[in-house]
Amino acid sequence: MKSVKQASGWRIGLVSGVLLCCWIVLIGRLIHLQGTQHDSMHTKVDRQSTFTESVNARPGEIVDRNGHVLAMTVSRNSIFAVPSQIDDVRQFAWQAASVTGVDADDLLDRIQRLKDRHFIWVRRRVSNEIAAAFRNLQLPKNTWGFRREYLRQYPQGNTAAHVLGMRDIDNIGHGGLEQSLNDLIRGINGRRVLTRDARGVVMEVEATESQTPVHGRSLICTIDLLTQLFIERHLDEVMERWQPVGACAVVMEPFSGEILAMASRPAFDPNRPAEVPKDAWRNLAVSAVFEPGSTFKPFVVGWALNQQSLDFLDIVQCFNGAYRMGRRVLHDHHPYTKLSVEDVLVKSSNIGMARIAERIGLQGLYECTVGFGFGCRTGIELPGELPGLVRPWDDWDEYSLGSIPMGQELAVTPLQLITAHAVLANGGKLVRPHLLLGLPDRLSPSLLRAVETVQPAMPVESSVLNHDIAHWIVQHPLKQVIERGTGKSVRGTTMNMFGKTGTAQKVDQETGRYSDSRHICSFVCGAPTESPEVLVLVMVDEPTSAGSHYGGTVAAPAAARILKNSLHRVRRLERSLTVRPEEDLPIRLR
Amino acid sequence: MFFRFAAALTLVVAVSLGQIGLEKQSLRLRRSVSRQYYQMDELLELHAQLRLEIQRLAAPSRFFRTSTVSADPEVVARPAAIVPQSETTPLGPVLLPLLRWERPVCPDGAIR
Repeated sequence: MKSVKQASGWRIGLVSGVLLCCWIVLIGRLIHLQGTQHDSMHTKVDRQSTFTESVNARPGEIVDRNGHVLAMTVSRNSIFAVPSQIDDVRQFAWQAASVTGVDADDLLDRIQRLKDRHFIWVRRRVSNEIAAAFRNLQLPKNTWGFRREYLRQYPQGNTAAHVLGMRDIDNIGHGGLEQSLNDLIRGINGRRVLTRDARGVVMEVEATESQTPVHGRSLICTIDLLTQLFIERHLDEVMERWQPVGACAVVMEPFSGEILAMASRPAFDPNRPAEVPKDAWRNLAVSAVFEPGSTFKPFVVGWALNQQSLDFLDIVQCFNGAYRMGRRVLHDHHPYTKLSVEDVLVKSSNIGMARIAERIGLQGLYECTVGFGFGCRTGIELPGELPGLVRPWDDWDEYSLGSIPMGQELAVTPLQLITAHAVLANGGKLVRPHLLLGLPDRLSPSLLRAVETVQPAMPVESSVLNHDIAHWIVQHPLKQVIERGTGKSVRGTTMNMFGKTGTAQKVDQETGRYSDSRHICSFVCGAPTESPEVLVLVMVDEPTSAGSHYGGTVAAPAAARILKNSLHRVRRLERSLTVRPEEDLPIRLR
Repeated sequence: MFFRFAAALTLVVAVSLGQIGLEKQSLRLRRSVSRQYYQMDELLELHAQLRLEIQRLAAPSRFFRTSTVSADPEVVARPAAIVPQSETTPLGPVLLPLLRWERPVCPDGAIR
């Protein structure tokens, strides 16, 4: 009996000891896991149970001044495949290709090549119809899936394409406002942290660790869609009629510097980025530099009058069409003996301009050029703007005294040229051209509150000319250019318009001399002369079809038609601006 | 002793059950909120797509094209796609007039 008790006590002690050892081992392991390996285990658990996905910000919209949408974003399904889960690769590739339109052999090759991968794109941002058709294929569930991605759309097609630019698949803007205001439009991506169970099913969204995306801001630009359509249509007619290398047109409100329309040819459709022609990206309005020719002459006359080196009633000796200036002889198209200051501009006399330039001197000529904004960027919200070419003061010589007044030896962009002409039209102020609409008084603030707006920098205003001088140039010489000067091809329109033609020879790259067959012609005009409401510039680069190459013949008719339409449009704009009502906007924009 | 133990146990169980119930309710509410956010996103997306379609259909460039096409007599004579059966004559279908954007004017100049 005693030996049984002893044996029982020994067994109990053994079991207790074993259990105690087990507990000690377990506690030790627990301390080891929770203490020394805590961080690494915690990371492992997090990696298995939590999943972070990016939530893309929706890029903002761009609307014209009347609320027409120029650029907006919708989401589309992108189809992906899981190659590691696909058993019958050929069948999958053939079926997927049949509805998505991708090349079956290419898809098969990619799936076979990346057999170990868990993700490859089949086709991105497909239409809803293709997505539905793909879903109806009833492919094995774990072999494919959809992801939502944003797609930028331009509902107006190729209208204002150079102003807008485009946005690529990675939500990065290229060209136009899309590029220059990319930081504002694209927004900031958010993230969503999800907790999953062992089977990968999402249990919860970790609100504290997730970040809400900041959607891109919507912008109202100064473009008026109808005016834009007018100029695009007229530019197309110019391209068809004169077969030039390129052309551009700008419509501007001279007092505020608002760009109502801007177009360039060749054009492109931002909805089809793969089909953009090679040279179509360039916005000639800001990136083409050319010698302004006669369109530069009014500035020199205005400056001379402003410096009191010239009087309105002065008579300028023109030496019968030939005038020696140092080592060169200047010529006029028609010989003139004497011309009034007004007629120097009306007849576009090179000799008359040289004589006026002699009065203000080389220094004054340089100050005039810089004062009207040439040689530096205008500051418009567009990428790729060139500053033009004004040589440093040290490089100016006596030759410049004859060349600069007739618009040679310097190069300007079309936007610089129309901005400088706005100085004459608005009474002597140099304003900054801009594309972003602020909150002028004439717009109803209560309606504009509907859309987030970005206040553009205040248009830089500097006084360049005396008010009376600017008005005299517009109401007399520039008006007479239309009545009896080089712009009389557009005479007879009901508008009370003014304008200036320009025809510049291009430099032949082979000979380094001015070419006799390659020209850039331009025409700047505005109306009405008493208080100009609109300025229009049309520039045509190398008209090649038979006929004239003069600005008055090639560019002026189109510019006059654009001016007529724009003037009609601007007068209506002031009466009936229609910004979208709040209820028409998505909640996040209200 | 037994009753005290049972009461304590019951209290612990009741509190636990209450907590479970509250957590389930909280989860249900959060799911509901999530669903509403999802629905709102979907509606916003639908709104965006419909607005895009409206902008496309109402794009002024389309009206430009329409006016250009209408000015072409050959194109104006093209048969309309929808012809009411009642207006079909023995000589052929009566064409529906195109939408007019200006007031029709009589040959004598009077506005109808």
